[in-house]
Amino acid sequence: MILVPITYKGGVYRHDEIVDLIADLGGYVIQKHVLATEVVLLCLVPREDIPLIERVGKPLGGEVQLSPLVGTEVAIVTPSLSIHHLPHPACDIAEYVRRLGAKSNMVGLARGYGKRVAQTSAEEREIINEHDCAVFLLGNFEHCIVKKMEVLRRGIHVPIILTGKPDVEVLRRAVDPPVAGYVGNVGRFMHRTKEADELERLDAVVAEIVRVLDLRREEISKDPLSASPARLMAVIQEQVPEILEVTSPTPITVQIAGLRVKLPYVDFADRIRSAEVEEGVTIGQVAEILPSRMRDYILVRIKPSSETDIVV
Amino acid sequence: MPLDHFVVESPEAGAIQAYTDIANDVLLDHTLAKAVAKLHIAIDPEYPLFVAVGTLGRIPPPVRLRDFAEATFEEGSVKLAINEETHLAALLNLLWSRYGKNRVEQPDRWTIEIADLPDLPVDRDIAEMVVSDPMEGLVRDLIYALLSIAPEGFRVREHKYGNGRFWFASSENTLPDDLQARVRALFVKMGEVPP
Repeated sequence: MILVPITYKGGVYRHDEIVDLIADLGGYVIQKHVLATEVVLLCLVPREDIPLIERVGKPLGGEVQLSPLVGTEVAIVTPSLSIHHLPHPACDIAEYVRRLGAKSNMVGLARGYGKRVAQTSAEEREIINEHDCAVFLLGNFEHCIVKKMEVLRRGIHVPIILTGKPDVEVLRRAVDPPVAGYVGNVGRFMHRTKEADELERLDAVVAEIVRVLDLRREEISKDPLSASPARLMAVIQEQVPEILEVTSPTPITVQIAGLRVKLPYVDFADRIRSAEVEEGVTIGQVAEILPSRMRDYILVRIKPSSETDIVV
Repeated sequence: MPLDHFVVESPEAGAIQAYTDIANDVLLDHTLAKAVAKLHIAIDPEYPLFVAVGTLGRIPPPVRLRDFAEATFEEGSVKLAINEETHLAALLNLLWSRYGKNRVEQPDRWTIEIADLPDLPVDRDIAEMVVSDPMEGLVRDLIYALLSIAPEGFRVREHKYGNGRFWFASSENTLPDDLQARVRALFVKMGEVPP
C-alpha cells in the first residue's frame, strides 16, 4: 500500500467522518487545523482511495489536494533574525512552505551574517541536521554567497537548498562542491511577497524542496525503513496518551525518516522505546530514540530494514 | 520614489536592482522618501564596503515655545498656556533642567507655572526658547534606515550629517583609508559637496 500526502480542506461539520474514513482506509492524519468553520487535515492516505475520500467529502464541502510536503520537516536557515532578513523573505518562505504541508522551522544563526565573519555553532548545525532538508536564504552578492557557503555548509549532513539573488546557473557554477538544490532570483528584499512574479519565486523554492525531498525518498526506498514514521506516530499517540495533552500545533512532527516527539526526553524516552508497534516489536528495536537539540524534545530516527531485519 | 537623484552602483550588476528595491522599500517604510532629495549608494562586495551619500530636501525648522504655547509674565510667576501637547514632555524636561523641579508646577495638563524669583529670574525671551529640533529625529531615523539598507554583516560604521547633507559608510573590515576621497567622489557625482 503506497501512502500519498494530501491536504483535505472542508467544513468543521461532520469532518469526524473524514477522519474516521482515513483511519479505516489505513491512512494517518498528520496534523489537524480548525480555523473557525473550516478544517484542514494534512494526511497520508492510500493512493487508490483518494477518489473515495473526495466522494465522501464532496457533500461536506471538502476538497482534496496532493501536498507533496506533508510529513516533512524543513529548516529555513537565515544568517540572523534581524530586520535585514525578517519578516521578508525568511518568514514569507517559511509560511509558504507550510501552506504546502511541510512543518517549517526558522533557524536564525547567531553569527551567520557577513562574508568574512560568518560562522555556525555546533548547536545550530545539530539542529539543522535534525531536519529533512535545510533551505539557506542568502543575499544578493554572488561573491558573498560563495565565501559564506564554504563556512555555513560545514558539518551539515542533510540536503541543502541554496537561495540567493544570482541566477540558478550562476549559483550552480559558483558553489563547489555542489549542494542538493538551487533557487535563484530570491536574495534579500524588504517587502512582502504578494505580486504574481514574487509568488512565482516562492513556488520555485517549493518546487526545488519537493525535488530534493523526492530524491531523498527515492534513496530511502532502496533500503526501506523498518517502520513508517506515520505508523510510529499513531503508536505513540495510542500508547503514550500524555502526547495528546501537548498544546503545540504538531505534538508529533513527522519527518521522512523519523519523528520529533514534543515530550521531555528524560521522562518519556524509555516509554517510547518500549512502546509496541506489533507483538514482540518495540519502537526501540526499529528506531533510535535520541534527545533532540530543540528544547528537551525526543528525536526518533527510524533505522533502515537492512539494519534491523524488521519491517512492520 | 520622487528623488532628484537616486543611484545604486556596484561591480555586481545583478545586485544593483536588488539594492535599489531595498533602499526604495526602506525609505518608504520609514516615511523618509519625501525627506531625502538625493541618494547615491555604492557597494563593493569585494572589500566589502557600503557607502551611501545624500542630501535632505526641505529641512524642518526647530520648534520654539511660541509655536505651541503662550507665555504670560505675572508677579512672582510665568504662566505658560499650552495649545498643543505634542512637545509638552520635551518642554517639561527642558524647564526642569533649567529652573529645577521645585520651581516648575503643572496645575493642569494645559498650564505650566514657573516661579519667577528676583534673584533667579525667568528668561524674558522664554517664548523664543527652542524646545525640540525635528532634525535630530529625522537624522536618527535616516541613519537607522541606512543601517537597514546596508548588508547586515557590516558592523564597522561611520556617519556624518551637516547642513542637510549626510554620508554613511559601513564595512565588515576596518573602513578604508581613502574613505573620505570615496565619499567626496560620490558627492561630486550628485553635483554636491560633502558636509
